[in-house]
Amino acid sequence: MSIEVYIVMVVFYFLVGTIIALISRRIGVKSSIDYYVAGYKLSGLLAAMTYAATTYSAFMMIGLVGFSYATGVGAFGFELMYLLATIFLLTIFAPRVWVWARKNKWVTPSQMLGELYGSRFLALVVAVVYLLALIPYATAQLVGLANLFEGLGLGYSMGLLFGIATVFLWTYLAGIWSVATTDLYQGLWMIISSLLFFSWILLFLLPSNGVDIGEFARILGDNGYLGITGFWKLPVFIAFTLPWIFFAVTNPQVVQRIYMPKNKKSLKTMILYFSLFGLVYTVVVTLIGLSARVLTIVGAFPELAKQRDLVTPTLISLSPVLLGSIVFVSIIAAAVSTLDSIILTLSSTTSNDVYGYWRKNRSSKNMYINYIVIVILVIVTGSIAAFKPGFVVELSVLSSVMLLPLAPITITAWVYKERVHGKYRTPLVALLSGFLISFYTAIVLGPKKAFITTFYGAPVSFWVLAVSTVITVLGLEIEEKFVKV
Amino acid sequence: MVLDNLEKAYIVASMLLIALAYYIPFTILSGARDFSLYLFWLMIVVCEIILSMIVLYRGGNKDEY
Repeated sequence: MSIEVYIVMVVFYFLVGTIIALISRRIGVKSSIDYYVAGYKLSGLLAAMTYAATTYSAFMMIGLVGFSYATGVGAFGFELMYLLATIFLLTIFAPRVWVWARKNKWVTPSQMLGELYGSRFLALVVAVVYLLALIPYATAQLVGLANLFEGLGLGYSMGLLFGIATVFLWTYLAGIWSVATTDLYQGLWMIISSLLFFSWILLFLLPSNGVDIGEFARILGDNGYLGITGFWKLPVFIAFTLPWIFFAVTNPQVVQRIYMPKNKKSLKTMILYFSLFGLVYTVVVTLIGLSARVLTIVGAFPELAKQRDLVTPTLISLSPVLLGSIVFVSIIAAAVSTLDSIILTLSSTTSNDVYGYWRKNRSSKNMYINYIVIVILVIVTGSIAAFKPGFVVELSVLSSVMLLPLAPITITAWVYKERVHGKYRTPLVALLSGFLISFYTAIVLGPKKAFITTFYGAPVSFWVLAVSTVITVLGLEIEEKFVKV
Repeated sequence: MVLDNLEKAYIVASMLLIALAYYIPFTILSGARDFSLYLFWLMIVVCEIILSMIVLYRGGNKDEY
């Protein structure tokens, strides 16, 4: 009986989402600006929810729950460092970038960097780096989604086909309009289901095993899960947090969302609602992981520290079937909402800054290339996910590190907007140096090991950021003094 | 990029909060046996949200930067 309920819930989720995507077509997409950045006309609520649903992937309900379970409160700190830094970066830069985007009709972050530094070639290189860094990340979302279906007994291939069809349909139909409206729907599904799931754990699962709130805190404290556990040594904490601190300026799928709100009020609403969504979702998700740890300690839940990605599926298997199916679909929704946003953004950067590099006079009303690029990207990620080459899937762990060199380049361009024009050699060298360091360590050590290995006491992410920052600062000085623009 | 005084103060306050969010958990609260570390990180983010809203929603909307 239970599998039928899950299937019905998945079908319901898909049908409602598709109806929403179809309705969003009525808005009328006539150009690339409409298709990729909503004609700069997104409401505050839509902008906030698409920002949140794009940012928060299936990692939250699977990875972060397992992380909190295995490593304690440090996992909460790791995720909140991202939120803390993102709120700060958005507050300082978003109002300015929002104005510049509509003045200059920016569609993509690579186009933005190309125009600020005065080089279409830089835009091309940045767009290629986006592809190399984010295709593994997008593939990992698809693999995770297919694994969920496999775990339910529906088969990996079925999950893959479902993911490909959903992402293609919800992206293709109306571009950002179908992505943003379905993101609102999926974001609500994610946050509401997590609250329901935690309420059930708090009100039923824990008490039925003799654990009340006071006991909950005492058990965690006595077993060291409320302090810094052995896993979270400072270099590890830095290795995990550093790429995420700059996520808001390095990842194109979120930078692009700064362009979209229809007015200043919507932009502020976006930042406020996203902040609240992120805070509530992180609190709830980490408390779910800590609750599972308490249950393990009292002997009511298996020890899964070495298979921490199984914590949420095991909790779901203990829950009432209706609730379990809702939570199950929320994980699918988190993966789909992240994946379709990445596919759409990569489509925009590829058609605008890769294809557009050779076709300089391409009309923004010529939409065919946008559609073709989406089809190609979906086929590429789907094919990689089908064959699951270990290196590519593991490389997703490093995607944010590979994009990290964009942090100093982007922030410098925003802060010294008037001074950097024409100085495109420096960001090229900084970007390629940082990217190659991360890629080289991934090949030599393997992506997972490269992520936490330290050199001279600091993780790879630190060195990537340090090298690209030093090159950016020194290079711009040298270009200013010695190179005629 | 020109910053007004409120934004400058906000940057200093945010940097301080970020530094504290790294420093305190690995020193004073590293051996916490209650929810003090959890609440500390939570309060830091709540403070940041409040400060951000003060900066964003202050009187007058600048349209030009």
